[in-house]
Amino acid sequence: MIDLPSLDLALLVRLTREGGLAYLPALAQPRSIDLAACPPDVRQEVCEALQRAAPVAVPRSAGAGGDQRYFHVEVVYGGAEAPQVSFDVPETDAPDTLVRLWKEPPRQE
Amino acid sequence: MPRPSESAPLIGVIPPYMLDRLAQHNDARVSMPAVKTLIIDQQQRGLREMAVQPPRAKPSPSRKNATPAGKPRRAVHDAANTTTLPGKLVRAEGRPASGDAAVDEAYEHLGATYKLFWDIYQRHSIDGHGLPLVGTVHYGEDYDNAFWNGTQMVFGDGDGEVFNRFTVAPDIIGHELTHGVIDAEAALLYQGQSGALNESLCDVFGSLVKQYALGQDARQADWLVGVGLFTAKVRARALRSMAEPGSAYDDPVLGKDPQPAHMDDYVDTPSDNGGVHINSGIPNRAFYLAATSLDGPAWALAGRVWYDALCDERLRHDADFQQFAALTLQAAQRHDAAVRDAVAKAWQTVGVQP
Repeated sequence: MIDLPSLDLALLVRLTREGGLAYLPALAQPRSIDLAACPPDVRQEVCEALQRAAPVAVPRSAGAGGDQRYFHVEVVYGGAEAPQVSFDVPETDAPDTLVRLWKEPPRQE
Repeated sequence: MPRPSESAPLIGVIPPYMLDRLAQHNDARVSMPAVKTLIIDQQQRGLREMAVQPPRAKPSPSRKNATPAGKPRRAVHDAANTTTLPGKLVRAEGRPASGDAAVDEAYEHLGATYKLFWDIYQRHSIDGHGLPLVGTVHYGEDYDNAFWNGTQMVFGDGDGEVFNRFTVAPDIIGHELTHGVIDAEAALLYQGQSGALNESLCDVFGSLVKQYALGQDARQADWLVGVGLFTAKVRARALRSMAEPGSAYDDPVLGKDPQPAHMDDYVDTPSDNGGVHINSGIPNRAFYLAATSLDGPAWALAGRVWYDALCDERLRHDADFQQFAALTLQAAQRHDAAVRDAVAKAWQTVGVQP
């Protein structure tokens, strides 16, 4: 479990799926969601997915062994002084909302 | 006991990829602090890992559940496309074929893996004490992975577009079970070079499972890992090539196989736990070279040397390629000059100097 700071000032969420039986470069491309530019409903969907993931997240998965996968989440905040937040979510514990963000990234126009 | 990697979690405020990007910045005022941070982080991680060398997990044999040596005890479960483990037991040891291809492939290939480790290395299952071999098939929906979770193997059905079911390849089941063997031996850290060594050893013994089942000599084998996993819709021979790392696939959907074959091309990356499935190409090729320069089956000589090095008490959980190579050279001393030369030349060819 991690303490997820408020996402009110978050600008960008970057989601990466790590681990698995092989590293397949094109399938491993991170998903970036521009929270500053996306529609409000998408922002809400992304923030809810992160909030649901926080209880099962760890600060850093130091290599889930045995080809297990995990999601690596990075949240970028505005301002040079603002902290960046990153955490990992084991795939086997990941809420379906986070898995869906990976499989079907929201449209951002 | 927690895995060694869990005992020293890495907590960083700035994500490693950002530090990497900053470190490459043209302006030294930006790049230098990032470079220093990366170095400090690596040093601290190195110190943490060096400080904690866990004792080897050697579970005492349970008499109540003891399986006679030389006999596997398999249990294949069906998750019915859920993610609940282990799921419903559908084929226990000695039961007839179920008619479900995934169930029966898992059962057969678990048996083939047990057979290699017992017949050739006299190892009684994963832990050496007859641990039951538990697998779950039909995990999740369109799940495109297979993994070892510390107690059992799990296989997805694939999505049918890029991946077929993950039970189709005997070397993949051998690969996953070898993760369990490694956990019971050196428990190689799943990060950086020790992680790539972990992955390579799984490919080595997974490949030997396939070759032993097919009765192939080293020079007859295809040295491909995961043949059959990809559908015909993608341009891919397999997940990895041990003979020619970097040549297994090249496809718009998958990208190009990123494995290097030599230390000159070692990939420093924060992705993939520090490139564990990428840099494993280097020790994979070393094994291929050693095995194919000797007559006969790969499991007999090169396989024995690699197995002895894996089980050597001196193999640390944070071992790098060089340390493992040195142990293989020592293990080769128990063999004739041809084996000693083959092992030494193999490591030299891939740029690892023991």
